Amino acid sequence: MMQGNIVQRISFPLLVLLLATAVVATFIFSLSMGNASISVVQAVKDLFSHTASLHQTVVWEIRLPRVLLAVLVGATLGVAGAAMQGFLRNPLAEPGILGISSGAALGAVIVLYFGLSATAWYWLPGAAILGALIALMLVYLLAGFRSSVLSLILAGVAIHAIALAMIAVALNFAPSLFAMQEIVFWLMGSLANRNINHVYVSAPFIAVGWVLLFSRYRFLNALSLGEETAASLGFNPQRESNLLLVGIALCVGAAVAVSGSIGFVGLVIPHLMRPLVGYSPGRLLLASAFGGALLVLGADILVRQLDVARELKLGVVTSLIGGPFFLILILKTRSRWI
Amino acid sequence: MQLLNAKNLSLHLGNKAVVEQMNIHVDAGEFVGLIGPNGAGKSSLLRMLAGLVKPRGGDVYLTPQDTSTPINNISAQIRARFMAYLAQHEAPAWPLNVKNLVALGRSPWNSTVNTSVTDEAAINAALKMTDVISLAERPVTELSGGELQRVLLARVFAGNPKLIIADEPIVALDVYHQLHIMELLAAHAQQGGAVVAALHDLSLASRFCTRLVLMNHGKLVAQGKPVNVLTPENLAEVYGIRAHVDCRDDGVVIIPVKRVAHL
Repeated sequence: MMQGNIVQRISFPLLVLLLATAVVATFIFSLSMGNASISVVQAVKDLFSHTASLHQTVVWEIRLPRVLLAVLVGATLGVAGAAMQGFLRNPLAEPGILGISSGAALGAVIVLYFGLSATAWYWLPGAAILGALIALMLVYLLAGFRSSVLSLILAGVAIHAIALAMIAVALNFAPSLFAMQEIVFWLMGSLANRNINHVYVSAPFIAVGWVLLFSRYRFLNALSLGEETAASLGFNPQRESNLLLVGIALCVGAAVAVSGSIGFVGLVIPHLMRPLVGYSPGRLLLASAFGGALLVLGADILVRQLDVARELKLGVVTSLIGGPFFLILILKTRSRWI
Repeated sequence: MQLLNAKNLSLHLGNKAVVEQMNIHVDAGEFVGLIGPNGAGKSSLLRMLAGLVKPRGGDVYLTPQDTSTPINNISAQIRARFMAYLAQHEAPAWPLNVKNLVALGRSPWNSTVNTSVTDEAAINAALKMTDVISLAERPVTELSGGELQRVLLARVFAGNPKLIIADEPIVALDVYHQLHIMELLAAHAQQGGAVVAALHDLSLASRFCTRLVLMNHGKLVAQGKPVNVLTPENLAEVYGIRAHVDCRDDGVVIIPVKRVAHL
């Protein structure tokens, strides 16, 4: 309870400031960290003086895309998780519940299966984003366009199951062990060997998704009291819900497209942030965006620290941190929810 | 002045008609009690009046500004400023604190992230009016049923609505809190607003409401002053009960005696 009081005393602007500072600090730390002894300061100097140097190449071409993607993907998973939990009024919801992430994963797996990813870099993210959008369209076709939340979830669970089954089929009939390994590793989620093109292909979708989600701020708050009350407060639940789901599909689809499946961020981060923002579903969006970015940045630093022959996958780390952490959180707040 | 006028409202759920050819109007200053047995169509009617469900037939007219306008021609925001709806089981999904929950009532007035000075004033006035100001920082999940209902009513008052539509606002409350909620609703009507509330407690309904509307099987049975509606004959016909109806200076007392066979 003591801790609860201290936690509640942090005002929202201060919380945002603290989180933003932490993200910027981790971002810079992550840029300067690596096997090669490289100076970020030198890289910035070289960039402005147009001097081609090793510092500049390593920081801007190798590390920056990876660190930028960590922020984009982490923030997306955090904000999408917060939006989904607010939308379903359920703290156990996560962004993948409507089959969007598994649709994206299936798109990517098909590309890996046919070995197209070796021909050009854009096949994989392109197919994944397409997969996410097709999954959302199928959910709407199944549930009907003027559908209730429940029918959307049921349709989403069905699409999720079908996508997972098709991924299993692809693994089952994988043309070679190498292709199978590639698929499995991709599904685990990673930010290794990404270039700035991955940022360019995902950022527009992510940006549009974020705008759609953050502008649902007031609707998500009103939804705390249920769909009917939100409607009586002047919101159009049908329109707001559609914009929210399209927003989640766009940014989560794009995030999965460039990183694979990174688990637990969308579930655990909104949970962690909720008491800090006074349980307000609207404020949770921004806090979860920063929190998600922080977690994925941190997990990626950890992955890069471990200098092992086989890369430890980012998605494995987030789940390894997230799982037990989530358990502790549930045990601590059990009295409130049960 | 007439705030709400609904004509020939009908609603079907599946193949079943839940409301048929129902007419109801509400004037400023009125506290209309909507009574009738379970399944009479009270909630469905209220939800049509609140614009939450489209009627199968009939029209709802509201008077948010000086002229009576069909509800479909009024923007959701203007409608929300004019009319508030308190659902039957309004359970907050998150342990928001009381003040933040009441602030949601300002949604129709506020399109920004921050609350304005006007919003703050309205929120504080609503907290005071419903006597929950001492609970302002408490999480709503820690409140008793009576406290929670007062907080939810404060949410309604914070939006400064003219017309309040409340679905069984005093169900499952103790007598003290029932009186408290009814007093607050009656005070709202006396100050020039209006209230339509579905009620099951006939004695309290007759004590506080200026007019009662009795429904059965989705249709209007009787309406008027409580004494004229709550007759032993109506109670027998609609509720299927024999009851002592005692008209006293301070209200009508109804003592249900026994069930009688009815159609």
